[in-house]
Amino acid sequence: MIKFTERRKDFTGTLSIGMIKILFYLLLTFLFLFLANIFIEGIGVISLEFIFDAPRNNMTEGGIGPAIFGTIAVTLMMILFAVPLGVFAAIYLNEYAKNNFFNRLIRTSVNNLAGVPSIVFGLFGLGFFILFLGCKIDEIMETGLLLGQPALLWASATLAILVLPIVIVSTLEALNSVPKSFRDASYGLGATKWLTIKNVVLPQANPGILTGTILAISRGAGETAPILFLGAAFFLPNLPVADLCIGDYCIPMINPAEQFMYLAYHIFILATQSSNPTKTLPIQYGSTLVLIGLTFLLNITAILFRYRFRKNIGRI
Amino acid sequence: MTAKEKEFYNKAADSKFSKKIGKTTKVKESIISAFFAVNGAMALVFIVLIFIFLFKEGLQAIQHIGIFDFIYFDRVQADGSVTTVFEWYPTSEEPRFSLAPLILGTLLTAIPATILSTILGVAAGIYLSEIASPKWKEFLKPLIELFAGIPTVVLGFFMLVVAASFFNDLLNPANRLNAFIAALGLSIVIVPIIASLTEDAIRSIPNELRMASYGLGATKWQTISRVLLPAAFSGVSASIILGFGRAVGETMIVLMAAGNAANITANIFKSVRTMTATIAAEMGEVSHGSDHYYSLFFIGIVLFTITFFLNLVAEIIINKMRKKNVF
Amino acid sequence: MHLIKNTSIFIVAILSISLFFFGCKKKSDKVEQTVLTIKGSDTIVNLSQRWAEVYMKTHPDVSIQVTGGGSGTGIAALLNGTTQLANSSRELKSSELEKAASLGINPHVYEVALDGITVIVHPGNNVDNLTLKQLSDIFGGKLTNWKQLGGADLEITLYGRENSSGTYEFFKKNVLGRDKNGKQIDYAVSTQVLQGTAALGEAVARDTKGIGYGGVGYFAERDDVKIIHLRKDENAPAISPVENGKVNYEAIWSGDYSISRYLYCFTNGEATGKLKNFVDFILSAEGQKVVESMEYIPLPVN
Repeated sequence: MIKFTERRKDFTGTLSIGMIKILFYLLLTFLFLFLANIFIEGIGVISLEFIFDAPRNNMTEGGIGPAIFGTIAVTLMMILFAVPLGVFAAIYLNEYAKNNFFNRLIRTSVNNLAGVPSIVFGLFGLGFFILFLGCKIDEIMETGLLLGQPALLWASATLAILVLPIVIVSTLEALNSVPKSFRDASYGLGATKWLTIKNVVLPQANPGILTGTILAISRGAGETAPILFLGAAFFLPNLPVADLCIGDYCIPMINPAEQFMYLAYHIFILATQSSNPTKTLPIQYGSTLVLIGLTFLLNITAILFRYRFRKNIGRI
Repeated sequence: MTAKEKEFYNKAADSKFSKKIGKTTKVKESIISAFFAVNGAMALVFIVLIFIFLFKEGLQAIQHIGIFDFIYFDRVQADGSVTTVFEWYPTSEEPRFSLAPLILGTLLTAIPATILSTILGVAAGIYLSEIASPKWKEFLKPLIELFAGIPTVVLGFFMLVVAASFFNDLLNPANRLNAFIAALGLSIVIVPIIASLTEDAIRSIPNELRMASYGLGATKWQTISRVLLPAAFSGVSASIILGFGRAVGETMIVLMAAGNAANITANIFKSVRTMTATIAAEMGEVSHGSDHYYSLFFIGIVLFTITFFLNLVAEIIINKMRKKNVF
Repeated sequence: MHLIKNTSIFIVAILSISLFFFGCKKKSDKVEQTVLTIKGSDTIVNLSQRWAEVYMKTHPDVSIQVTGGGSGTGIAALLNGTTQLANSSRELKSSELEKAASLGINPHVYEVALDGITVIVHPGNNVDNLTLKQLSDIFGGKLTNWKQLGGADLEITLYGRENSSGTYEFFKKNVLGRDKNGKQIDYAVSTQVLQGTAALGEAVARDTKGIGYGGVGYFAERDDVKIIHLRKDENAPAISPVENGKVNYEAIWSGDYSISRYLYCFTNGEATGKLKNFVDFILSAEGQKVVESMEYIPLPVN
């Protein structure tokens, strides 16, 4: 009797587990097909010219160089804003904060910030950075309409707030993983709190911070909605650089008050508004492949770092 | 570090050596900790700022337009009769600002996406935590995380260019770009969220429960379905809520693939317009200070409020789950 | 740990160097450049970019930035002060004129080209010509099935532009028109919104039930959409804006083809300096040659 019921129950069980396996592999198959389609259609377009040249002839020829440049420029500036802020915030939360209401509120805010829709960030960037801060700065510095309009600076700042939770969470994880014995030893030698953090905890947490930075770059490069009206442009004849001239020597520097081309935005515009969707289709695929290749490269690097870093936690 | 340990270390760091630490160092240390406190508070500051500036622009909409106009509008028809219409048409000569088609559009894309993603995501979570061999798991979990990082504009592009035509030939829908295609795209974004949170939730269930279940003679599936899933229920439901919140707030996929017609319909194969797509599409063309401009910020308020509460609920559930699992 | 430190320094170095590499390409032209910003109509954006390309070749001291977004976007930008030239495929609305007056802006209007609005359907659709009234009923939502027009028994799918588009506004004013009480007829709510005429063409080309509208420049040479012949009313002859794949200038200049319009450039006050040079170029014979090459209608020579 027992054998009979066991076999019957086993049947449902095996069926259900089989269903789960099928669903999972279906999911993976679809994801691979999706990537394969992009790779196959896009790889033919990729060449050195594609990466470095500007678009020509109404986007039907040429490359995506300025868009890549704009993406790098914006993400670099975004990292300059987000990483120090995020690391310091994480240090506060992990090392200094006591468990009171205010600090729980801060932790809730970090989680909430992670869940804000990206378009709301765009509205915030417009309403706060451009219309409020930008106009105030223009008034104070009397430069006319310089910063009170869509600009690289505001796009980077808005994206920095968007990726802040990523940096904070990664850094928290890294700080948490530093063994107490390290801090113990440091205090035992007479170091103050800040010295301990600076010389003992932070160096140990570096890999985690790096992981957070890489993940933040990847996220920032892929976001389109926030920058739609914060400075991303369809076609600009020049890169957003200005020459900083000292005497006879001119160094090209990124001009934060200019508009920029952005890879993710470029894909969006090509796909929905290009002048000749049939002719630009290969370029659309090429740009998509570049963006997704960049994202994957960054994410894989971050994941590998984190993997090695988590493995090292066991040892002292 | 637990709270108790932290308190201990704070005391140790402060008390024992405070007499031996010079005044300048003490002042330096307090400045530094104040600096960190300011940085720490920034996340809170930003949330508050978002609130303030959204509401600053958006509440002016209520002043200029009136709260009821955001729901319905009494339209005088050609023959003189008055009908109540629910339409979003801010650029008409008789501007109509009803949010009804937009909210319905958001729901028509987000709810099917969440349902589909729950099935796929929970299955994936179960698979990863219970069924996959450890070696596979090391490889698959980062893979799922990798897919969570796909830029949404790429997904929107794929849906627009490939999936729309494919499903158009297969299913012959009423509109080629519709809520169904958008929901599919959204699922790809949400599945990794639900999968990894489910996997975390199931993995954090103490092993004693599993052993007890097997010890009583249950099969693997019985253990999963009757012991583990109920135990992980709060984690799984938090992940579903977060996933739904993400679907509601997603912009690019619906902007590119949902067709953008402000229909009021329950037919998933018709085009719809979501709140997010409306803001994205129309913000660039409004002049600052017009009614249309304020109404877009008002949509932003509605959107922000919805996702804020969803996130809050999910966080409360996760916190409760964490407290419960300290056996 | 050293590996990670070195790798991060390496990555930052690569990024910084790549920035200089891109940036250095500009070093060749050290000429002081004036930047002209142009924003607005998607109908004109390709034409405008082409003008900019041709002009910049002979005038390296000027750098012209062209972006689209719709006529409404361009005009809003002109009023916000964030652009110098606004492309528009429609006239200024009275609300925009009021806003301009309140801001002390005096918009100057330049007619730069002509455009014929073309109505397109899928090539498989056997409907050939329509009257203006029928178009108004179709896009207003009164007629919903092709069989009411002599076609197959299929529901009509409407494709339109976003509401910042001048084409959208022009079509609404001149085709949808006003109803018996003088109220402006609106597009049916089921109209699918497409950003840009090219996307609209793509959509109609793939939808046997579809109908859409857009500037003739986008459709004259396409063979995957069918251009509808237009009749002013029941008794008028059916006229197409395109004959044998070429745009029918005469029909548009004479007004026989009823839905044609001027394309405009707006500036804040009359254009001066480098901006004026560019506008003069647009209106010159060379500029009008560009108009022809882009399948728009040049200004009539008289």
